[in-house]
Amino acid sequence: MRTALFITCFLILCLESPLLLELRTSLYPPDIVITALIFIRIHSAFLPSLLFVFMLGLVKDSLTMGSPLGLYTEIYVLLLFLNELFIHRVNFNSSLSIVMVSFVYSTVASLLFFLFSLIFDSSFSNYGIIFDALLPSALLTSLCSPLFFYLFTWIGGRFRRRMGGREIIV
Amino acid sequence: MYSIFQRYKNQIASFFAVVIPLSLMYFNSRDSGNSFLEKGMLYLTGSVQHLIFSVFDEAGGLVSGYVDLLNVEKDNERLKRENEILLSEVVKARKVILENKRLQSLCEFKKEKKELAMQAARVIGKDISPYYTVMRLYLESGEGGIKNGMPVVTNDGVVGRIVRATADYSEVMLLADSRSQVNVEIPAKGIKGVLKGKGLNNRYAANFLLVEKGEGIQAGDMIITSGYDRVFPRGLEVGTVAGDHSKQAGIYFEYEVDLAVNFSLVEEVLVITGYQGEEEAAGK
Repeated sequence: MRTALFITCFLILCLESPLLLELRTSLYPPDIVITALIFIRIHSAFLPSLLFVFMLGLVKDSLTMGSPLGLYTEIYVLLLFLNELFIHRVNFNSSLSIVMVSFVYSTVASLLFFLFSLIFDSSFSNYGIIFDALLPSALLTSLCSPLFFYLFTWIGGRFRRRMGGREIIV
Repeated sequence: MYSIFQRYKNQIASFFAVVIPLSLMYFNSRDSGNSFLEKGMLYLTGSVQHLIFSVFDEAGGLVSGYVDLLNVEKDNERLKRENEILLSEVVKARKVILENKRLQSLCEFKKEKKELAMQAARVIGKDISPYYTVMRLYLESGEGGIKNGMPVVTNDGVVGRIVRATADYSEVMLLADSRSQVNVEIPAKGIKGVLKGKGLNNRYAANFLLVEKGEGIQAGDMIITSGYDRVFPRGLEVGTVAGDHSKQAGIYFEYEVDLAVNFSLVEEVLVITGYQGEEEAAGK
């Protein structure tokens, strides 16, 4: 299931740039990795989830042009740690809770982006845009997260049936 | 030993998961070159993006051809199919004509600028994050030799500079990126300053910055590279002054600039790999 999810996320991340540019809605792309990390942690143990998030972070780093390599990987790994606080306290069967948690994670991701850009990317100085984009990005990510969750559940279900319940480590 | 590893495997993995990206960012911030991992990831994702770009490019023509044929009657199925094929051919032919025009302009530009050594590249992706204004290029010739900092231009003017490079794929930071700074001048008036990207996420924009209020600057004044930054050769068109009025920001006077290149429409570019007088400029 994790392999199928990884490939799905990889393809969506690759497709989102040309697709959103084609639809002329590229200003604030929803962050699929945030939903993926919540989903994968619900269905997997901590260690495979960490590996999954780490790999997906690297993919996001390479696809996000201009960002220093490691920036998104670090952000998503830290979000996975944050997720440990919520995982046993929040009922993820409800769309509302997924929306709210995604909103919090997206906001934290933007703040971490600001922090790491400040420390590691001396050429980046337009911090205003991070805070301008913080709310719209968080709203879009959180509103799209139930859809991504539904997609992951569907793919996970189909793949698990095909594999006869076996798992593949990413 | 193994039992200790087993017991603390989560903590050990967490430690490495935090430290590895931090190290990558740290070395990235200190060294302007690209690491082996960075090049590998750029190559992998660049290949996938190139494939997707090609698919989108092809599908765009077929879809528009199909849409134009929706009203053909049922009994003309054969003609419809033929028309469909012909129409998609026409769309493709139109695209080829446009591409030829663009390439012709680039070739003429290359002939005019004999002092510049250039390599052609195709745009295969544009960044959609609100923070950066970057494009990804595929170098058709595969000659290599592309390095960080090399200028990127079209026949219309300056596009930006290379920030990440491999033999086949490179990333170019556009003039509109908030990190971009280029030394420029208004040749007709001898006014020198810096062009700084505004990093806006809804349009491509940049400002012309001056330490002193530029007397006599008017809307429409052409801005070219001055060559003082030792990155861009002198005399490349950057844009024109958008308005007579300046805005003061700190010690600088800012003039809005209409950039010469429309980055939304750029599909082919030229990377300047060297130019006459580059060494003299570097030795200044």
